[in-house]
Amino acid sequence: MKQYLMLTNEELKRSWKIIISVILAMASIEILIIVGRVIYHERQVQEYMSYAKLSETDAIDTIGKLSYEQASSYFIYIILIGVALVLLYAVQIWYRDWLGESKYIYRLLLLPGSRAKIFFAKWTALALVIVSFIGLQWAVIQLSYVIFNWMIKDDYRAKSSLGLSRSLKQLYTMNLVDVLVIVMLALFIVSFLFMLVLLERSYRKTKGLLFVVLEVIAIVVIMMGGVYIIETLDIFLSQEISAIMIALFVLYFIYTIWKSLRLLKWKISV
Amino acid sequence: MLEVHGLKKRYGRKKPILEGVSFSVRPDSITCLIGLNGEGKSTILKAIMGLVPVDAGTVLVDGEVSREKIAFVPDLQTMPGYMTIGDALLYMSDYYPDWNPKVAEELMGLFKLLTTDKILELSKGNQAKFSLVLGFALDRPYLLLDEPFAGIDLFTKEQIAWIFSSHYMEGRGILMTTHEIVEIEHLIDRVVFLQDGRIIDEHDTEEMREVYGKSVQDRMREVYQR
Amino acid sequence: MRKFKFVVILAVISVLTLGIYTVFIQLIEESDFTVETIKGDPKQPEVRSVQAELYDQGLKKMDYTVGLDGRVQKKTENLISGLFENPYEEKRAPDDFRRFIRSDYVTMLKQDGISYATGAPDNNKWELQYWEEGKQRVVKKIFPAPAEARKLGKAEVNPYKRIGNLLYVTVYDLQTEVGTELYKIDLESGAIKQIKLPVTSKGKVTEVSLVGIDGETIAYSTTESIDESDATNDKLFVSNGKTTQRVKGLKSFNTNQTELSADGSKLIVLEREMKDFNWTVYDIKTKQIKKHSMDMPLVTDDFGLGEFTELKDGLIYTANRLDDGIYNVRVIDPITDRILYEGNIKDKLKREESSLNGLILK
Repeated sequence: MKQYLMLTNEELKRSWKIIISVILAMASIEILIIVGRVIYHERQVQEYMSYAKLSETDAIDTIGKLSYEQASSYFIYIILIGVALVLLYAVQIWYRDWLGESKYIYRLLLLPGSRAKIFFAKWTALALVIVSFIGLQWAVIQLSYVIFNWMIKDDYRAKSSLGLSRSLKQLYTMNLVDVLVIVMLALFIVSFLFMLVLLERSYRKTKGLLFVVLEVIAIVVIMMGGVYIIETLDIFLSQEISAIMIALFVLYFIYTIWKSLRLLKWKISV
Repeated sequence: MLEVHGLKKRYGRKKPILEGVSFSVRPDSITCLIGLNGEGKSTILKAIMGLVPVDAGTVLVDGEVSREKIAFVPDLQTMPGYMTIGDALLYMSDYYPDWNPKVAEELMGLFKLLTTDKILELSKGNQAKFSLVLGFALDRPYLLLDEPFAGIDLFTKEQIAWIFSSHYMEGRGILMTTHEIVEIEHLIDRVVFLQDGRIIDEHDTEEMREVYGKSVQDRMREVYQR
Repeated sequence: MRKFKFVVILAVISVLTLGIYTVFIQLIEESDFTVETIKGDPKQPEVRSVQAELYDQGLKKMDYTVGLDGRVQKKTENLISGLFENPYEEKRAPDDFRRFIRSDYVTMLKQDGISYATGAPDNNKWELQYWEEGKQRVVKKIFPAPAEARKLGKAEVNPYKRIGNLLYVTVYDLQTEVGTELYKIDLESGAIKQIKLPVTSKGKVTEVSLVGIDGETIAYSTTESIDESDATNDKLFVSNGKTTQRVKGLKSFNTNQTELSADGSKLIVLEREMKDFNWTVYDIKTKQIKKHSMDMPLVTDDFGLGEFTELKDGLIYTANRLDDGIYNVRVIDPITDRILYEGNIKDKLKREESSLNGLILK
């Protein structure tokens, strides 16, 4: 347990600078978006006032007031970039051990004890990064909301309570169960990527890529085959279908981890 | 005794790298694996340490299937790039219950290495010496070394060679691969000749010299120039 | 600490930030609905099972079901519970009934707490299953399809209404998509009899829809196409088993909002278009038409919604959004214009985000 936590710490230590940079960059961009939208909206009203020779109230009526929802509507793009970076990290966290001037993979595979801790250390590092990102994004939403209210003039503001754009509402549903589901889905994708990387690293060149392609095909076949069988049989109630889907998901999730551990123990090659 | 039995490895349908390699390493001795480039010497060491999978074969250490009595010094750096020597030593003491900090300190002094030095900024010779520190400071009866003398200057070679005749060797069985036979021939107790994935010859060096009147180099020429 | 520094930092960040999120969720205001009765007794039979469905569109999505007696039920969904919710599947029904109604060829009717499901798996037989809420027993019957129905292509058998021991079903030809036949099934004897719906039309009748049944009185509408144009003509008929009369004098009618009165002597045609709230009563015997209207102070929400009106069992049920988070609910006797019940559902917090889904009339 102690070694597993130390290894997790080591993984995070190696990426610390990048993680901080990404967090700061994303937060800064999002706050700048809010500031920019407020300033732009104000400028729009002022320009319209002079162009159409209207009073401020009339100009605002025409252009419309600005809500935090509207001002933060581009956040989703920043979040998607964050998601892409996390997926990249899930792949890089393995490959960096093989590439470069030193080969840390030797050191990892030579450590005493079970190799499973290598896998779970990297997995936990990703989990911590994912959960932190979700939490920090919420903190930035709150902070940017405060900045929004502080910057915008009362007459220009559409609503006083915090509202989220439709895309942000999908992520922040005000339900903690949903956060857990999102994290689980994310970790499933991470586990799947881990398995693909370990497959590639266990077999040479074409054989490795072949196995990767086969695994991708397998998951597509399982998903579509499952849907096809359920629809053809047409005997299941929707709750039963949901239960089957969840069971398949859990089983496949376990499979990706089991397979990865097996590859790490028996097949991996430096 | 470190025993290797029937190691086999092939990549696809190509010529096998190892075809049933069996040999043993006695405690308190130095065994040298000799072969031309690409004969599979490194692969044997990595296979023993579980760093590459094999198709068949077993490795026994004093009768047990356990790698935790073997220390391995590969021919490249294995610590993360940002680490200083001090970081690396802390790393080893964190993870290895059989890490001997006293030996590490002594060897560091001997090799004149500083804990504040960044590993990847060291010269090749110092990197090689530091790798040896990481290997010798583990209290393990067997030590594997992959090309410990590769690409380093004469003076450093002599320093490293000195280790193999020092008290740090007491009770250890060493298995190494090297091309630099001349400098250390006098230290080697046994040679194992590898060709085409097979062991074609093995001798105790003392026997080879006294009975056949041949040096290891002579025997190498005989074996590989046939 | 050196060995776990970064793990601890990220773990603390995760806990703190998710903690902030949790606190925020807890502090979100939820609507507090109360019901103020203005007229009538909420416990009277026509009113007591009526519930208003309100929906919170704010950050925390919440469904509220408000009974006119003041009882409020709150429901919120998450991704997992959403997977297991299906409004079309009769959660509380026994499993075999639920599997039956899943079939493509089966349609359902709910009346007085009993769910009736019928369907024709092939041309030769009809299946019927029904189940009473709260009970586990499902009544299952299979009938040979009546001779007239066998002539159709693929038939869809829809339960329409139960009166006494008779279950009236409409049969629709899915292949030709023309016409609807009416049958009554005697639930005791199993006898099936067709009830003819005579139509007088010049053009091709593309649809026949039932409007109401009361004993021998049957009201139905037909839609016919006019020559080669896209235009259609709707006609309304009332039959008493012996004679059929065409209802004339109505400007327009919507089959969904047209019903026979409770005693079967009148036809009620409801018209609701935002603030315009009108209905017409047609006396079947005297053929007299009387128009009615009522003022409705409707204030729609941001989505243009806020009104729900339905004609059921001879009464008009209407819910309308007023200003200040108030929803006015009325139950009106369309023949006498009498308001049987009126109440105001109030949200103490006057939240803008709530909206009216509709009324549940059981």
